[in-house]
Amino acid sequence: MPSQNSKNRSAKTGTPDLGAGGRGSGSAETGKEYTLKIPGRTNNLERIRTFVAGVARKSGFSEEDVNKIELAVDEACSNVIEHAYAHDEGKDIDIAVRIDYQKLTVIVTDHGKSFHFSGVPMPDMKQYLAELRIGGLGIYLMKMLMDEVEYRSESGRNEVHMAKYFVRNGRSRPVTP
Amino acid sequence: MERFEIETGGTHAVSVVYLKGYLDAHTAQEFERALQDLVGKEKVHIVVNCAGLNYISSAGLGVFMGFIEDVRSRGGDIKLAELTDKVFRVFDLLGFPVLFEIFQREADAVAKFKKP
Repeated sequence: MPSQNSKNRSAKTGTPDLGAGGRGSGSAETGKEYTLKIPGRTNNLERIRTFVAGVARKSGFSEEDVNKIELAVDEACSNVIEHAYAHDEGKDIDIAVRIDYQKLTVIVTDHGKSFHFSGVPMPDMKQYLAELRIGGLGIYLMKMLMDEVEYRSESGRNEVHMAKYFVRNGRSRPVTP
Repeated sequence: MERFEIETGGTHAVSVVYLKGYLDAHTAQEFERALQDLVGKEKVHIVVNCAGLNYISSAGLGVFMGFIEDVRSRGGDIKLAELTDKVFRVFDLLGFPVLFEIFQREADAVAKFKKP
């Protein structure tokens, strides 16, 4: 089941307003982390999406951004199930959603086969469609949908970090002080 | 929990596949089987009505990509109709409207087969 940890991960804890621009006013998730541990099976993707979308929605993201975040996380988890775990259904995926003052970060962790994330070529979509290719869009979508995507692999632990910034003053990137 | 449902209807000339729920890595195979079944019967004039579809991931998009070449080589096409804004945004993000004709109404997609 999803759990809410009370880890203080931000100096801004106690600042409930998640940003200007009329979003997130009164939300209390800043500095919190929400986690879900779930077997890596495709029939759990819907539950993963519901969990992540719920946190994103409560954090004050627009419905369009909530949709982007849930799709990016689905793609990351689908990759884990298909590639890292090769459909070995006994292995868990850990999903952590962290909210800080600037952004929402989703960390998808697996303990399966790592892969050369940065070596995956980003398709030229015009060419992709013209050649009627199939597959290989997951990482491209994650990068299109989120503001930051990073992959880390160490000692049998693989993590995809994906961040979406709260929009402030019409900007979705952090404002340089 | 909202799952995935698929129904096939239409006429002898044009098949209409109705998708409902979510199309992801779990449910894509079911959609694939439905299209395979139509193509196997040489029913290649296909309209996919997405009015009830509330979610699609790349696994779902892959099914469309997986059949379009075969269907067109047999003189047919896959046309889409009645997409929700949420699902259309995913198609649009990847440029799919260049490859697939998308109609607001199912009737218009069906009619396009009759008057190419």
